[in-house]
Amino acid sequence: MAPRTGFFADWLNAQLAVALGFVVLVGVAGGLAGSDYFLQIMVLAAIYAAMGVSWAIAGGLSGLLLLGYISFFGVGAYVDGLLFTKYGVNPWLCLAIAAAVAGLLGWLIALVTLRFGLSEDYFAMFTVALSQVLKYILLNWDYAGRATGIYLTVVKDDFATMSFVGRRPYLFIALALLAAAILLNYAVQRSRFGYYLAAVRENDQAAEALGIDTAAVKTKAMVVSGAAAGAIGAFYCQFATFIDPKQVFSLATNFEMLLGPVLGGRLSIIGPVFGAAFLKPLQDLLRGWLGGEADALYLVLYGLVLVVGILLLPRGLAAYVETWHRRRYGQP
Amino acid sequence: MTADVILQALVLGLLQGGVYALVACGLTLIYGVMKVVNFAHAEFLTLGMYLTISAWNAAGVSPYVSGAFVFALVCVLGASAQYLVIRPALAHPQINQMLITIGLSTMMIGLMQLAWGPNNQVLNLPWGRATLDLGELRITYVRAIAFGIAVAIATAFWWFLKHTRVGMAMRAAAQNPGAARLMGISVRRINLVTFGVGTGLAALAGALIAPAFFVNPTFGVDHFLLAAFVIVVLGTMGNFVGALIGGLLIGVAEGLGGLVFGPALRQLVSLAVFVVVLLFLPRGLFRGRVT
Repeated sequence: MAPRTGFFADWLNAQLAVALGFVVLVGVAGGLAGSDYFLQIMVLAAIYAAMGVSWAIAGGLSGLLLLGYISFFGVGAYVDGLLFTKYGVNPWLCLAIAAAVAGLLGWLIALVTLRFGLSEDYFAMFTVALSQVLKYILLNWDYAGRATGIYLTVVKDDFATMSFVGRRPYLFIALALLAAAILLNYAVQRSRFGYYLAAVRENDQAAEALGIDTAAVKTKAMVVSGAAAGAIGAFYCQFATFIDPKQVFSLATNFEMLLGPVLGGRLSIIGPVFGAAFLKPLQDLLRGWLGGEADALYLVLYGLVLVVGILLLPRGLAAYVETWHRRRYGQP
Repeated sequence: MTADVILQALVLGLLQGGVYALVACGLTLIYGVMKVVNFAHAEFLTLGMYLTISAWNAAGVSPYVSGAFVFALVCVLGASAQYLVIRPALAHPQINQMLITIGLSTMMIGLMQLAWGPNNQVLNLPWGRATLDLGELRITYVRAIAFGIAVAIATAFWWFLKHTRVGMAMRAAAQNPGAARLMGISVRRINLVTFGVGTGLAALAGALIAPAFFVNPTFGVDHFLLAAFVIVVLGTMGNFVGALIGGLLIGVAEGLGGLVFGPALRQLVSLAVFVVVLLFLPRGLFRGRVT
């Protein structure tokens, strides 16, 4: 059978269409119906999905063991919280500033880890430790409210300051951020930079021998992933209206955010999107259903899903879908 | 700040460091042999504490007796965990292995909370608060004994690694699994034994400190996980002697750090040491030598 052609014959295009289509669908569904409780869950799922898609650039495509990703999210949240409450900076502008600061953090992490030759396990542990260092610094920093954190007050709907009494407008913003993250991941994979990432991931030394500046490629991946998470963190601060160090630098949340891309497929776009879209609501509903008393049971189930899921799907679900897609379109 | 206060902090730090060393040497052994960073390591310590406390509360068994049984039991549990969830993932990407141990940790915290409840539990030895007074220096007997036994066992285990056939097989598997296999060593079995013994040592450490601390399901994560990671990195991941020396060093550093910066920032001292060591000595004090 001759290979079929067309827009959808390309795996990346097909993923883009499916992922964006899903985002629009969720937007329409959320726009038409949904109690505040369900909208809250949907916003969180969109935030997790956006984090997963953004993480996948450094953590998946470049092959860096970026295990402590929440640092960027937390830094973004605090940049927004501090600038908004202390200086009245417009939250929309804060999104951009948070992205810039988190991107700078990504650049710094890449700079020191590459300079000192930290790789693999050591890199992973460094990133985890750094998130906890940031947590302890903020826990002891008077200006940032120490353990109490930062509160934003919302009294009326105001698009200019990203404040809304209801939950629905936040869903649209979260989905827009998710769509932006999807487009970013797509653009990276489509570009020359994306091919460099693949080369660095598959064989670091061979890539270097071919004349690719592997350090620069990894640095760029960290900056892009970091900046995206910073913007998402800033949005989270506006959405939650309350942040504290234990919450936005939580390791449990950190690993929950990585679960979507790992089970869904690190190298794909649809993996992190559908991974989070399925897992995060499941988690919230499970927690709500089991109730506060059964928190322990929830931990057992959650750990079990994590372990069994990763054992059964080591490359993520998207890898199987990709194989199916390739066969359907008759490509080798 | 008088010299007495400093000495007291120093000695308490050192005592804590001995226990840290025992916890860390299991972690470093597992990393050395399997190249798996075990994020669930601290949960085995917590489990050891719970089992010891239950043995005391139910049957009045002294922690120093039940410790041996706790060690044996957790060895079996750890080996089972290795067989069920770690071994199938050994050929998978490292991020998968890390997340699997994180999942194991989450599951264990949940199970311990189901079994023993979320509140603090305590083991009240009749002489649990008795202190040994040496001039101005005051140390509780339980801490002194914990330190003594921890250091003795860690040293004995080091001898075991150096001089017994199983110990040598472990070191061979750590240095070069392929070559070890060619020499007729069953690396799969060594992996199983290593994970069992490594987690068993953490549980034993838990049994030793059970009379000195309140325990709740996240005790290990809150108080030992970070320190254990700092220690294995400081002493070179996979290096047994490094973990012993690193444990004592970090114990003292935390003791003095708590004195200087206050207890709230004690953890930050470990973290700062961690980041600095990772940056300037990424291969640890022992330059990557795995012994």
